[in-house]
Amino acid sequence: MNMLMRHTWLGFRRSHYYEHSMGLKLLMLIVGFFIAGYLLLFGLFLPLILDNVFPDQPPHESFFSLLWLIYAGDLMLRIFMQKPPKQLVQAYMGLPVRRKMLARFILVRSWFSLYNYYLFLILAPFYLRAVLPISAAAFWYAILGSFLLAGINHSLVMWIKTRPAGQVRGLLFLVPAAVLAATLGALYPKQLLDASMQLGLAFISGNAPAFILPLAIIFLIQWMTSKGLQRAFYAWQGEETTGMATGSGKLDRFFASFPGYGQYWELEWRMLWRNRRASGLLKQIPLTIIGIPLFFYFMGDEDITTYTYLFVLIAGGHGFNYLQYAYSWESRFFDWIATRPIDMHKFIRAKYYFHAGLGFLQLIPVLVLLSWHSPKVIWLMAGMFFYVTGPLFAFLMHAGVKNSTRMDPNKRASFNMEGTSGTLFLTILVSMLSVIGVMVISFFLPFPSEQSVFIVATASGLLFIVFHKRWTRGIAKKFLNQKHQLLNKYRER
Amino acid sequence: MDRIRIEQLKKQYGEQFALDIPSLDIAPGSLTGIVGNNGAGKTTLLRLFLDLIEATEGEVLIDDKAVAGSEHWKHRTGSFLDEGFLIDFLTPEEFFHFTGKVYGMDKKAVDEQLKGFDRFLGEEINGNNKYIRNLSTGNKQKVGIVAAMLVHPELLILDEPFNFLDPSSQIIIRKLLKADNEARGTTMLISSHNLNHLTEICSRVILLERGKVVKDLHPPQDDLAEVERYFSLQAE
Repeated sequence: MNMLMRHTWLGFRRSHYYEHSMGLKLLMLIVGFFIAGYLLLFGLFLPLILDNVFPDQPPHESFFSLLWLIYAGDLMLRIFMQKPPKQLVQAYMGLPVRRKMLARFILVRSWFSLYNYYLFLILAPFYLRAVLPISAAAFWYAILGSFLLAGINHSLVMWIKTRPAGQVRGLLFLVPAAVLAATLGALYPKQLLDASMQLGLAFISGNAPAFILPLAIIFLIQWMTSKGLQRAFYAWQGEETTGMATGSGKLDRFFASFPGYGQYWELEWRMLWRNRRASGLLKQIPLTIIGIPLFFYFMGDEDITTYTYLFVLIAGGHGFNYLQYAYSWESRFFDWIATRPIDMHKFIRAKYYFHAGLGFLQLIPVLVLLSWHSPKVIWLMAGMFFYVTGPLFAFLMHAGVKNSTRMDPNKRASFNMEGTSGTLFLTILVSMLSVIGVMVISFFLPFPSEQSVFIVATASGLLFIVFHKRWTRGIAKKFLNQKHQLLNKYRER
Repeated sequence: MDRIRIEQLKKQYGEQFALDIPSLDIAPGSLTGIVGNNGAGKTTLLRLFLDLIEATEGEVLIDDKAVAGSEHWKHRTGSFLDEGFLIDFLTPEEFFHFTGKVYGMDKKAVDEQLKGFDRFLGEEINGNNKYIRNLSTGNKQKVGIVAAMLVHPELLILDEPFNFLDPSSQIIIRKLLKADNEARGTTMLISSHNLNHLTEICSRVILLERGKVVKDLHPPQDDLAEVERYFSLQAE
């Protein structure tokens, strides 16, 4: 076990994160501290917020009423995001290490997951202000109780996620359980809030059964997971080789049917659709189409200039997300590209048209939905579309050539450091800040602000769109000039 | 394809020379094997042929034109060195068709070509609708070799083509290479550790050691058993 834990530490210490430059590490550290600080402050001010919203009861009671909601949310988050450390044991399966030991290691190692502790950034300062005044013991009991609740979620998710892939479907019984819980919650909200509060109060009063019950549940699920893990090892061995192709779909054939660019569009589409990380970006499109009009519906369209960055995301849509990684996606078959008779200028133009087209397809339903409730935003949005498809795409594609980090588009995206680099951070930063330039220039025009922004954004966009052959040629040239450096970097990983 | 020539070719990593070949000519239509121990510079040489790395000095010339920074050789060259030459989210069939298209071949022509590789590819690739990334290493190797050969290149460059293949497939590919070389006069450059296969099919064997050509053998004038003796001596 010690050896396995030591290897885990080495694996962490030698991960991609530590291969990044000092500047990037600092930047990531600052972002990390910012998020942690934000959560700590939120916890610190939560008693005041609860006091204002529920003035009739002490903040800790209000908070405990919402415990069920917090941990239901936590469970949902874990189901989607938390990964079991099963990949860490693959290399040991062929060695004379007992499988029981490997299963135990996975279980122990999984407790180090950040998901088990992030809530305490809010809970600890909150309990300090709201529970510590009751007694020191109550404070520690509250911490322990919260940890046990997190432990139940953790154990449940580990149990689900360590089962062989095919058996996960068998866990669909969780769906009716969730529906039942939601229905009961909807029918008896007061009782639910009350039960949740009683649990919290039982924790802080040191009521033994309140601790023993969750502890027993954790032990039971962990025992089941340990048993299941030893059987699951066999399934994991075969997981990699069973994936079958989805086949050539109608969209593949549609893209391929265009003369000239068709073959590249077909390839681009397949790269997006058939790789987990790439398709994750693609799947954001419907969410954006629904989410953004909803945002303006609730937030109003009065102070629209503060939403400018949001406009970039909507108007550029998929292209903005995707083109940050331009060419890094191709890093895995870059040797093929470099040795085949491909017209690089055409290849890059095809990429540009493809993502501008996808961005446009995303924009249309957004505009239609916005015309309903927030018509003021439409012109601004259309202007932003031109701006993003013009200068911003040009910048992203230029910067993409400099982004020489190898990336597997099929790896999962959440908290995956692969492919992130200083260049990428800088690219995003400059993209975000570039909108300020549009705002500043439009400030000097003798029109109302929305009209000025529309004029500047559209004019700059159209300029780049009209002359796109020129700048894409520049990228192709740069691409070929950088070929050897890119290939060297790709091979380093 | 006319002459392939190397002039004062050097590749240096830091202080260390990975390759140093003052001059080398590859005759059109020859089947040249490159052998050497690990780190001898075989792959570096092939990468320089394909302009995948930059030479520290000198150049590789095809038809008297430098390969570096030019494109003229690409539509006449087929190559497979490693998995970087595969588009792993395509199925083998899609990959063959896409590669063919890039070389100006239509689907029908590609399918016609593929018939000649039916036995080599086997049922595991032909009948299976798997993405390349889900194939075994040996099958990936087969896909890469076939994609390089099916476009009728005038120059074929393969790195360790016999690696990861089962014994039958090794024999089939050996025969296919020999047949293609004889029938179409394809110039072939093949690096390998497998001396038996190379000596069987090659009209020339170049032995590299620490980046330098230490032997350049042309059977039948030269005895290819010399290669084996060389490595035996090295091992002792």
